[in-house]
Amino acid sequence: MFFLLLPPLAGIFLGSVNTARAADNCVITSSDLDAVTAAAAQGLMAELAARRALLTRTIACAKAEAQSLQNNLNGLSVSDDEKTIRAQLSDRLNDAMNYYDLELEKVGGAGITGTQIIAKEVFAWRGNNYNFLAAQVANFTLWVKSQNLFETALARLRSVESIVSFLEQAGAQNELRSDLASAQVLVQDARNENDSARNAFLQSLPPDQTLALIQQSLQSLSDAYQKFFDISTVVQTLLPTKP
Amino acid sequence: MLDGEQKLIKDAVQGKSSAFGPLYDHYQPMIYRFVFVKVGRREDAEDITHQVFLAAWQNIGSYKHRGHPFSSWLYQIARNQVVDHYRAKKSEISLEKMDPEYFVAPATAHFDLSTKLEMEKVRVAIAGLKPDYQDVIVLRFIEDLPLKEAAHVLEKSEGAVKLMQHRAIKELQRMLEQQKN
Amino acid sequence: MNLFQILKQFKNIEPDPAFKETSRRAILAYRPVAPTTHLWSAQRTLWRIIETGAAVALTGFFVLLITGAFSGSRFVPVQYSAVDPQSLHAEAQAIDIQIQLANVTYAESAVESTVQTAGGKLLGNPKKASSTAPSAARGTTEATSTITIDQALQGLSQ
Repeated sequence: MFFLLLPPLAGIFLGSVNTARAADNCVITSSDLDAVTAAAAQGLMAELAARRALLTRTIACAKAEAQSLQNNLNGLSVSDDEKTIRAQLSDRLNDAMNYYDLELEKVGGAGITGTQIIAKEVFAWRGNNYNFLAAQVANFTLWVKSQNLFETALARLRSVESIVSFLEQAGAQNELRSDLASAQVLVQDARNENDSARNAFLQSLPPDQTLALIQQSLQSLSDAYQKFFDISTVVQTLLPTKP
Repeated sequence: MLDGEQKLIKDAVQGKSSAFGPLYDHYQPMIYRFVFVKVGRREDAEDITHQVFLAAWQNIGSYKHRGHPFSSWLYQIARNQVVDHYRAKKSEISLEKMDPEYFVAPATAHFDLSTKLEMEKVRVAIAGLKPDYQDVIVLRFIEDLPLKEAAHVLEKSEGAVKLMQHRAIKELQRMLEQQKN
Repeated sequence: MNLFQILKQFKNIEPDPAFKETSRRAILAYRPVAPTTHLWSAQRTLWRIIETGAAVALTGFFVLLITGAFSGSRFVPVQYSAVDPQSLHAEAQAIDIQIQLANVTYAESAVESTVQTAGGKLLGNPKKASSTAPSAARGTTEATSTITIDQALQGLSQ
């Protein structure tokens, strides 16, 4: 089966998200859960101790995950406009870490049933709050790291416009103009969709909607480059040798 | 045939990927089905289909329209790729010895269970036919290709294809009967 | 269902959309060499003459531009690199990489247990990766597996 090889930048990006998942020695295994079950066989006190220990470690890992996301977020190079969005996301991550601290404080005084309730509540809270936040942080990171592509595409478009104009003056084919027009529309679409994605962050739209806008904008860019390639093919047949 | 196909092909021959894209979108499912029915395994079908279109795009410069649909050319490439695939495996595949799981078809996951089971029986039986018979069954009875186009793909006369499809169906029915017993 | 009806059902088989998208992208990223046409017909020969004439004229423009025979203001300086395939390819590839990253959504990375990146290589479908990655890469034995925070919380709630 074929697969795409991505350069280290992709690895760094994904690595940062995955590091958040298991930050700083936070590796929880199925045998940790098995140990709780095994402790139950030794008696209630043993089970309680095991549950408290694993629950404490789990919530601490969740907090470390949020901290790691925040560190990555704050490490992004953003423009002034985007600092507002980053600040909003960072504040929400602070809220998440505060929540985890409050839950951690409860664990020490909880019985077996109490630890089960805390675990259930934290699980539900993550499903209703944290997972959306983490998704949005991932989206924002992706969006920030894509911005240079739009700048590059615009610069490319300007250069291609110049060469097409020049060749038209020299009597070249009209199909260059048609391909260029398509490329111009696609680059503009990409920029509009990119702006919509920025607004989606500001309006705190659901992460899946934001991601869809990011994907659309990147696809428009990709389609614009197909047109650049087509123009390149025609130009190369017109100019047999590179200067 | 795709709308505006002739223009797309002309542009694709000139190297325009924006023209080859729509051709890919239109023909990829039928080539995939053709390959999948012959090889049975989704991963293999995906790999081979990918190779078909890669080969088509790499060699599009040499494509010349000769009064036959573009799909005929793609089917011919697909037939060759399947042959190469089996050569590369370098082993005689005995259907009896194959793990049934090999033929599990995620591509048919959306069908109801009884249809899926029927399809799988038929697919296994088709896989046991000789390659020409497999091809004529897929082209004529699954993809509904006109006789003329099927004959071009198979590089045979229309009369030969008519005879072959009759024999292929008879053989397939015999194998299914054998399976039942 | 009779045999012919069953055969008709095969027409409903569709390839996996994710595979189709990835395959399409990989294929179109390949740049074919422009065809060298074998010129047999008079029409093609005539067109070739016209194209050659245009090419000569354009080359002449470049020569004159480089030698400064034209006064500068009327003509825009032309950069051949604007359509250089190698640089276009590099930029297009950067976009394709971002598209691939966008497709690996947080939801996917949230449900998988053991996505690992090794030397910057993305292991296709993270779900597939988690089931096929060797356990040595996960640093676990066959008997245990790394679980997510949510899985641990679910386990502890019982």
